[in-house]
This record gives sequence, structure tokens and C-alpha cells, in this order.
Amino acid sequence: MVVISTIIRAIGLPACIVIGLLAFYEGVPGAHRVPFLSSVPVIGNLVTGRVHAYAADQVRLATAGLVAKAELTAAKAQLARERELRLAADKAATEARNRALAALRLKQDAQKALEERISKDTGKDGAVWTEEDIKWLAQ
Amino acid sequence: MARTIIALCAVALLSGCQALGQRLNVAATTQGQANAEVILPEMPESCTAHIERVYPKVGEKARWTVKRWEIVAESRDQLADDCREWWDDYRASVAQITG
Repeated sequence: MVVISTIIRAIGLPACIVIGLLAFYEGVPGAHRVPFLSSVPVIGNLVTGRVHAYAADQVRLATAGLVAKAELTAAKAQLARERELRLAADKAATEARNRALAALRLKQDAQKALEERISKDTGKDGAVWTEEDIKWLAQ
Repeated sequence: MARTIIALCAVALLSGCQALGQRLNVAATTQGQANAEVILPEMPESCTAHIERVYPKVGEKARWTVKRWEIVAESRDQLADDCREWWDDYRASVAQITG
């Protein structure tokens, strides 16, 4: 009590109020470097200062949704990429089927043409498979 | 003067936030893309198909058999080419997606 009244007398009441308010809003200079002091309920508020506490609250509010937003973006990107890859795979499968059909048609056409040619090949010329040939091949 | 300074500070802060948001977006997108599972297509039969067989028969001319063999062999070659082209196409399309 004596100390307070001495200070008031020394620098005047308005100056004391100004200093008090300054400490309330801006915090006690250097006090925030003391470890864990800002975690203590009432003293912590004084140490941190209203301005910094408010700023920290604002930052927390602004960044609260940041992680969720980033995760959503990542999930969306993953889904889009997977969809694209699936489409590419589906397209490749369709293409393979079409190619296989075209190749089969090509072979069948060639076989048909050959069989026609064979049916016209009625001459006596040319080597003919004998029973011995087949027996030999079967072994 | 003070107002101008405050306005400039606000602009600087906001633009910083925006750049940060963009970077976060890009990072998240990249991470999502990296996590994406690669869905591989089924391997076409043309890649693994075996060559058919031509069995000669008694009384048939040998040259017919040779021609039949040729067709079968050509067909297998065609399938091999198809498989190669198919794979090149698929690879190109995946490269286009993944950049």
C-alpha cells in the first residue's frame, strides 16, 4: 500500500493509469519470455497483454479450418486423379478389345481366302501328306 | 498518412495470406495426387496369346499346311504389334495425366 501510494505521489495518478492500461493491453515487457508464465490463468493474461491474446485468438480462428480445408483439397485431388486413371484404364481395355476383334477379323479373312484358294487347287501336283508322315509327326 | 500506411499494411497482410492459401492448396493437391492409387488395366490377351497350331491331315497337300502356318504366324505377329501399340498408348495417356 505504501509502495503504491509512493509511486502515485511520485509520477501522478494519470500516469499510473496510463501505465496500467498499457500493461493491460500490451502486456508486461519481457515477461512473456518467462517460461510457462503465460499459461497461468490471471497472471498469464496480464503477461501476454490483451492485444496479443486477441491476435492469437484471431489467428486460431482463421487457421481452425485450414487443416480441414487442406485435407479436403487433398482428398478431392486424389479422387480426381484416381478417376482419370480409371478412365485411362477403361479406355485402354476398350481399345484392346477393339484391336483383338480387328486382328481376329484379319485372320479369319486370310483363312477364308486361303481356303478358297485351296479348294481351287485340285491338280495332281504338289507333295501330299501320307499316313507315314502323320504317324511320324505324331511321335 | 497513417491511414495510407494502415491500408498498405492490410494489403500486404492479405496478399501474404492469399499466397499462403494458394501454396497450401497446391501442396494439398500434390499430396492427394501422390496418394492416388494407380488403377492398372487388365493385360490384353494379345500380349500373352500363344501361337495356334496347324495339324496336317492325310491327303492334304503340304503347301496348304505351310500357308496355314503362315496365316497363324502372321496373326500372332499382328497380336504382338497390337500389344506393343496398346501399351504405348496406355503409357502416353497415363503420362498425360500424371504430367
